[in-house]
Amino acid sequence: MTAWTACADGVRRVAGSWNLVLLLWLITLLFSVPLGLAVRSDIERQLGSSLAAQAPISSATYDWLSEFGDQATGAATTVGPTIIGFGVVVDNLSAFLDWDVRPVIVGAMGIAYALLWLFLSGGLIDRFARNRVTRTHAFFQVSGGYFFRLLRLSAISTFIYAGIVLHAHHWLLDDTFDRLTDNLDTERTAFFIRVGLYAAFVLLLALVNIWFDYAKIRLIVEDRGSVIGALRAAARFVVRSGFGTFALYGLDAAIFGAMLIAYALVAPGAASTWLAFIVGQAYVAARIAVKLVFWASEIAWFQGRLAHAGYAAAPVAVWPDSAAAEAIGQSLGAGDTTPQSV
Amino acid sequence: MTRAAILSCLVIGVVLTIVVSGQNAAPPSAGTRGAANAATLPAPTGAVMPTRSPRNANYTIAARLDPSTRALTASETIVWRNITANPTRELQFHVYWNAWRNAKSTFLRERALLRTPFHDDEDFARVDIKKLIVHQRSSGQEAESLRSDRTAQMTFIAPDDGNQDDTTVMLVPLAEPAMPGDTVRIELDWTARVPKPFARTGYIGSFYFFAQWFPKLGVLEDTGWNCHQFHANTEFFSDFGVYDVKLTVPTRWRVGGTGVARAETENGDGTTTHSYYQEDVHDFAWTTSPTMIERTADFEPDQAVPPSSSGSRQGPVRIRLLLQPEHAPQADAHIEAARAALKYLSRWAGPYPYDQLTVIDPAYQSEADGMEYPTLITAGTPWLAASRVTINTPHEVVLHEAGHQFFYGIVASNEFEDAWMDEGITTYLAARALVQDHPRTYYEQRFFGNFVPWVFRDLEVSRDTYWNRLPGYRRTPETDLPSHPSFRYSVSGGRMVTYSKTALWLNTLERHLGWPTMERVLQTYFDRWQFKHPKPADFFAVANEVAGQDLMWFFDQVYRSSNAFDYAIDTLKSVKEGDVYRTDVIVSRNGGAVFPVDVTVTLENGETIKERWDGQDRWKHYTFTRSVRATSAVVDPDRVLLLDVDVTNNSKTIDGTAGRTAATKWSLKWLVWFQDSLLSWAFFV
Repeated sequence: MTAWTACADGVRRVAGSWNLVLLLWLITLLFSVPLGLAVRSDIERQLGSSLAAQAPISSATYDWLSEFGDQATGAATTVGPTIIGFGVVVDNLSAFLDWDVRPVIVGAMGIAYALLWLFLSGGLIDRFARNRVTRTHAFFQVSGGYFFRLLRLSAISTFIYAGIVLHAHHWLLDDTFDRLTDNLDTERTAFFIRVGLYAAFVLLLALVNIWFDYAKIRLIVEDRGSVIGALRAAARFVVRSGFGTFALYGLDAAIFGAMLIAYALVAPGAASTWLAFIVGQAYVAARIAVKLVFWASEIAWFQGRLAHAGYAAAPVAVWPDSAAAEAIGQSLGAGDTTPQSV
Repeated sequence: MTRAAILSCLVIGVVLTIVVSGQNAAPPSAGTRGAANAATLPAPTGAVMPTRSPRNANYTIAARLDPSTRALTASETIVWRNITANPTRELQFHVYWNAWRNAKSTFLRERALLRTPFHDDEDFARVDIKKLIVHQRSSGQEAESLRSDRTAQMTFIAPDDGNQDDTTVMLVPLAEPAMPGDTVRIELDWTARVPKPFARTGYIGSFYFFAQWFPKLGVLEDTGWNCHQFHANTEFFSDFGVYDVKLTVPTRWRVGGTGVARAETENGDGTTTHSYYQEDVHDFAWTTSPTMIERTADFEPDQAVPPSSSGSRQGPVRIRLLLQPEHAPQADAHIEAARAALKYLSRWAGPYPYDQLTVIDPAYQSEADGMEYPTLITAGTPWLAASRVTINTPHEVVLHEAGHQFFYGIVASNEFEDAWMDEGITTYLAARALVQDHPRTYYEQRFFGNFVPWVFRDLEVSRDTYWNRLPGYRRTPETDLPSHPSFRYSVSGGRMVTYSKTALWLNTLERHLGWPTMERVLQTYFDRWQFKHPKPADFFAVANEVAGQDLMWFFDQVYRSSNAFDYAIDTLKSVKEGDVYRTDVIVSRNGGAVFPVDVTVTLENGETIKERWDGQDRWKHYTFTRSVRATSAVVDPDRVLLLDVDVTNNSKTIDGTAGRTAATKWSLKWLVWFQDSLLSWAFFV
């Protein structure tokens, strides 16, 4: 299997799980609504019954946005020009790369949302690995079953990501950038230095992301009990599978980039309400789908390279673990019917 | 640059193509001209005919820059005349660069309140005066009667804060008093260390900008010497004269300076001396770099504009632009803005009497951007600039700094004490000038380390609010009392008073009086005080005289008070009583400042009722009885009072559903932003 076919397979697996994309989009939307309602309330309180509310309905006025921004508190301080159209993406991407501080409530919700994804990731990876429809109860059963293992894995990844963000980012984008541009009188050169340092930062994040993605995959696809074992196995796989793993990640990143460009071209401006919201939600769903493509294509790549029938031994048959099966087994005199793992 | 193009660059990465070419740009050949902007006027001379100013502080300077050691060596002759009614026993000089001699200066101590000052030795500067000889000549005498070496008598004083470590004001006692009319010739030899950029002066890479770089006399007034220490948030003040300056730099380094370049002499030792000359100015700044490119253009005045009240007309002006190579595509924007400044301000204030205006586009990280000097300004623009006129394109900064030629350069108020008189007036007029040629200007934000622009095509910014800097004023409207000396403003709040509040109250005054009257105020003020040093009372007197009314009630509110303005519609009720509707409107004054305002009530049948309130009391209750109910009430419907810090509360409607609809719309947009932000966190899962 090549990186290209793994990518295409990943896209197919995600396309075949459109209901999961829909579920995740719905969860994302519902997760955002409470804070959205709070922001709505702040805006409504500030506008009151003022005539000044007319202009923001039909278009955008910098005067109102700037006045509201001066009076806003909490999450509402993020209401500004950057919530218009593709400004959303530019603002968040820039904040990500520059590690700009957001209001505490936004950061806290981000962490809670990441935990939600962590919970669901077990079911998602299992679904893509089986490459067939899994029932709802099975999906959540797997999600719950792997959650604590994934939590332990994420504790390690959080530590490493924190190190990258708090130390490596500061060293690259503050110290190194300042040192390299100390006596520079040409902005263009400074810009490309910064782009290079961004690339180094993103590369570092990507390497860790690749490692932990395959750790998750090996943890779930191979039903590993040890998180450390999964990390070791993932590292071995990445090293041994060579350029293809990175090429696949690059292809997935290209899909992400293409999606951003597409949104840039269609994102409505300030005037529209529902059209902007619908197109925005389509963008959110597309982002979720692309995130799943990363996993699905990596699973396809892993399965194509390693976990094929000729490599793995057939699993030992296991008596089902339920009270009824146990009763049947005992009545049949089947002896010890305790389920055994592979 | 389209959004998709910018995004493509970011996603795909264009790292490989341009880095080397940008860093290694060869020095341009001398005299690079843009064909579309070929200059056709006779060469400027720097002379001003007839003499416009007292010319009582004349400077002849010969300076040599050694880039390898960052050293400046100079000899300077100042010919100064006592034009006051009183004798003086001393001379006081500004030695501005001593503000960066160490971290104990007043300037750096004040700046430390905002941010950490530099600490590397290489970053600091100094001026060391090796020799100071004074020659005195009595009024009416041809020959100098007294020569004394005052080198050993130089001392430093701190008239503003008593900081003994501050050496930015030098006192030199005279052997004999200089009587009114006497002339004193001072010869100085001095050296200076060029710093990394500090307050718009210094070097970065091969770009040098020199501002406040030479020992300069303060201003002797009838009440004594006006010579303030260098503060973090003030600018400068000096007398008019003739500047004759020779600058020796490495050969093939381009030079730009106040006035006009009269000669270039190659010295045979790898250096070239550039001679600059200008009459009737009060400062000299200059720049040099091997990589700047040059464009020239002409400004031809509109002959239909009538002469000023003193009879002078605007003449043609040569515009000389020195540009960073990476900003070459923005040359036309700079020249267009310079022309606009000359066109509009010569009409609204008075003629620009010099024959050249030099516009410098400073280098990245030079901190020299956005500043004014007589006949020379620095602009400032980013490399990636939008094609539309936005808050970050060079148009406004060029207009603003060129506007300073009129208010600062010609009407030379004291920037230490009354900074609003040049900054505020210029901000107001630059905003007005900008929208004449560019009625639509856009909000822009910069991302990715401040390198990449994103223009919000749906967000226009207006002259009345944004360009008059309402957002800056609104956040801290009561920080400082404008009538206090500017050097005593708070370090963080001074700019708000100087720029924003002043521009807003000037624009408010314009709306109150009408533009024709306001224009006459400006023209009279300019005409009466050009080449002089006016004080606030002088401006207020002109305004009262031209407007034909006592406006001190207004100036007391905006200048002698730090109170904020905030009028609001507190209550709007329209209740049916029998066959009619009784409408109650309560208008309140939430801020401490007072301004007369209109109150308009609109009824269901389209009728409007207008009342005039003097705005004095804390609230005013209006009651109307009509056959139909009211739909809305507005205080200050024409937005005369631009200083109002909360405009949203200026109106109320009976139905009041618009707020809900607007809140829904903008919270839905915010939702997409928030979801996108959440998905960034999901990356780490």
